[in-house]
Amino acid sequence: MKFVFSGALLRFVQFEKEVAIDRNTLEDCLRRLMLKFPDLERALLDNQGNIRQTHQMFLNGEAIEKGVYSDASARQAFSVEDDDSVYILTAIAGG
Amino acid sequence: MSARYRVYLDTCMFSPLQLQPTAALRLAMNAGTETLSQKVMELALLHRKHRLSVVVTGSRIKYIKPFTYFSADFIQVDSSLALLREGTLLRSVNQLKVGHDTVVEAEFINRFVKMSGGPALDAAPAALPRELWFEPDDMADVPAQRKLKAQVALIRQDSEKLGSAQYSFRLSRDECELADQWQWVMLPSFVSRNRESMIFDSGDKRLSVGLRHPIARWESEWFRPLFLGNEAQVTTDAHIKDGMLFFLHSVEEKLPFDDQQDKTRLCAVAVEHFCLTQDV
Repeated sequence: MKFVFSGALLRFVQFEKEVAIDRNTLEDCLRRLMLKFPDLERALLDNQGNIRQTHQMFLNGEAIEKGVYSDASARQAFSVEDDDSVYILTAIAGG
Repeated sequence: MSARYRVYLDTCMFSPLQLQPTAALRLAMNAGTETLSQKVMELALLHRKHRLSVVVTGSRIKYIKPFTYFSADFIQVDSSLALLREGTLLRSVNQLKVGHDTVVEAEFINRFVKMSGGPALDAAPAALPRELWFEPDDMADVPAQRKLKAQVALIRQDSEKLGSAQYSFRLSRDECELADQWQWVMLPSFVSRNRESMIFDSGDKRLSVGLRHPIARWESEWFRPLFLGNEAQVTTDAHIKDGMLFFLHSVEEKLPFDDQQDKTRLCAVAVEHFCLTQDV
């Protein structure tokens, strides 16, 4: 699968708009992604390891319900396919 | 009125015809920040102490009297501030004066947001804590609800359409603020180049009022931000009605989902008003 980034998160993935990851669940993909880009973890996750409420995820262009990706166990149960695309969006930033 | 101070004029603030809208909005933002520091606390302290910030939801500029670079050496800015809707919105009204005359009035509405604490400065809508509420300055009552899209629909419904134009751009860091999202004060710049392209490419002389005359009024509303590197498209329609020429702009983000679908999301709408027969 691939992650697609835009906006406020781009600088935490060294401005790579698309990052391909070869894993089977959303959680494993995210962990692999954060190994590659360690600065992303604090930007994306809160102190409990949950995706911050201010970020939204889309699977192949469709919004994913927050409950499906917010905590690690839910993400581990979320299977992804090779040709899936997960877009992570920051709704607002308080600059 | 809460804050009053003097601003010396420089040539980059002006076109040959008037104070640039971006300059008017920048002055308004500076004045609003000054007033906030007097009534609540400095914006940077609000960030550090309460993890609160503000994002813009609307702006308006009224060009009241002729005012060019040669009109004065400096202006006086009188700034007023009020809280709306249970402390969720902040309204800043700023009168730019030459002597005792208000020549331009620039206002904006901000929404308070609470930052998550992450380094991306990501945030969600919030309210100013009640212990920080303040007495509002006197200002004309203007409803805080979004209404510009409805106004645009009315103009479209009951007017003659003169032309249309569209262009795309990718947001540059030079056009962004602290969180790598667009500087709201730049919106007039993003949309006015589409108006000008339409005028330069069209043979309709009525459209050229959009370059020959000063802008009489500017209104805009924001719905979501653009971020650094986002691709956006600006669509502009020109309409004429009752002695006024309107340029109706929308700015949409192109979402990077599926090349086949061309999905977009509305980020902002803006309306520029021009008088056909008389300059401001």
